[in-house]
Amino acid sequence: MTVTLETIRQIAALSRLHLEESELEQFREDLSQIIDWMGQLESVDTGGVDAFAGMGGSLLDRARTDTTEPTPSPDTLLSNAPKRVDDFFTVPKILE
Amino acid sequence: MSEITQWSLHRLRDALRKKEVSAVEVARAHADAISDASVLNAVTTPTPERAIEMAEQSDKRLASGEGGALEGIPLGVKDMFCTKGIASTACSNILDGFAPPYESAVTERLWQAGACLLGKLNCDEFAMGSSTETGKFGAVCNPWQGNDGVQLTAGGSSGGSAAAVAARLMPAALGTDTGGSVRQPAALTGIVGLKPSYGRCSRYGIIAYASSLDQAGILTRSVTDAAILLGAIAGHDARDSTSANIEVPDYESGLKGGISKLRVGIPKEYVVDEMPEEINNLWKQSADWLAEQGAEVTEVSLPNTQHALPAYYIIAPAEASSNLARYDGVRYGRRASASGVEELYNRTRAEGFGVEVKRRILMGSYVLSTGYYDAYYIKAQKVRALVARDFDSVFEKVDVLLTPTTPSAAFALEEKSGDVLALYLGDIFTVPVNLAGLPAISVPARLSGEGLPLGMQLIGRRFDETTLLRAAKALESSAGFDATPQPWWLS
Repeated sequence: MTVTLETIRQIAALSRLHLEESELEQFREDLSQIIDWMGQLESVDTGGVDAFAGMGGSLLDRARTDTTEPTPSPDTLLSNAPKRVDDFFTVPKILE
Repeated sequence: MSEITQWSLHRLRDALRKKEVSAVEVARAHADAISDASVLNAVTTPTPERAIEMAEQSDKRLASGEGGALEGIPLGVKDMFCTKGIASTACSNILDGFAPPYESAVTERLWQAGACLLGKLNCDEFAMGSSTETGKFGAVCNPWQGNDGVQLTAGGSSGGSAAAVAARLMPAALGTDTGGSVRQPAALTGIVGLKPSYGRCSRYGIIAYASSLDQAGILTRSVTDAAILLGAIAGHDARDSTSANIEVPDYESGLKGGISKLRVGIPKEYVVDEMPEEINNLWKQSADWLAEQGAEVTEVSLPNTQHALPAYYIIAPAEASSNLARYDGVRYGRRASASGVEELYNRTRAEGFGVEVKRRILMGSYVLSTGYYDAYYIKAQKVRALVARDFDSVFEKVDVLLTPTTPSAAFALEEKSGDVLALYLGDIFTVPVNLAGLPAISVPARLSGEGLPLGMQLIGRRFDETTLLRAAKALESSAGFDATPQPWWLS
């Protein structure tokens, strides 16, 4: 299946990923090739198979008591923030 | 080169306990080996001061007889693990400057057991790759060279971990294995690589790539060392809801007892057309070795094997596109300059991610988007269930499976970097294990005609690492692999 440049633009937008015009064509070719190759799964008979029957099961299925745990201080959590003001992460202005 | 750096983890442990050597001497010898091997590019952030400081504490505990299971053993960990206060970047520009405020669960267990941190190890960006060429620190060189001194890949994504252990820069290292990222580099560098069962070790503090497939892994120079290290890092952790709350056996003592009557399966679907004859021969030889030690070897069938790879390359990017959504330039890591918040996200991610990561994010968004979700993502999940069902059914008849780890020995750096699919196809023998959540190990078995290491893979039942390790120990003893790379990096 051929992926169009428009599709690449759409999924890049969904992915919040700016792509230069020069990158679009390369990703279009790569994705077309990979998606073609994935197409072989179409022929696998998966009738009656539960998609999420996978791993885990009862071993991973458990409840825990709802108790509070200590959490790191705001200073610790903000220590890696590229920009902060007081105890807040900051972003560019959202509302005009 | 100090002789100490040639010692295996268990020899070091025993010598430290008998006080034949001090932890500080051991840490210094390995820190020196790292600084002499910078050309390999295996270590991204060496931490020699930290190692020596931790070793001093180890020596005190050893003196008072309080040492833990890994007391005084110096180790490196892949840059995918969060280490408190030490740069942890997944080898990605998007995590520039990130020093985690917390420690990953398995590294926390290492330090509690007395191990000392030598440094963070190079890998593919976000562990997405099979050649350790996509990270921001550049390619890792395999300590094994090809003919005429050609530089080879150390495999990936845990190529830095594998190269460091193979080059005797450290006795053991941690990696992560999402589709073979510990076993494949171990095979290509002539060492042991163990991927535990999904749920055996906590994923808390491992930078997430594909959460239903990721697992911490172990790289060592012997099966015994892998058993010791697994004992130290395994166990339930409430901070990872997928970590299993089941007993952790004593893996080291479980190595004893031999493999008489052990049922070994040879999956016929793992015979692929393009595989070199010498790997086929080694596979047969390995089966004979196990049979000579009393194992019963039979052919088995895993009919959905051929579908595992495309299913994996749908599921892993789908999970990656979701996991990597957190990198937005707001809370940590790199931030692009932008006038609006949307632009901040778009630019930060464009600047911070490399080509392979962008490709997988786009793939993931594609297979999860409206109109394609059922055809690709749901289909792949169903195929995954079939792959897992195949394994369940053969494990009613056999105890372990024997396969090659890789379809070739190490290839030249950049050889496959232009051909995305060729690189993906190299994961053909390792990926099904992750889809089914099973434990598997690569054991170095022989040198190829070109003088490069080849590894054999054993696959076990979920959570039965004990039987897996015992079989690996038997294979290791028959193979008697003791070749070491020529230390060209010292010249």
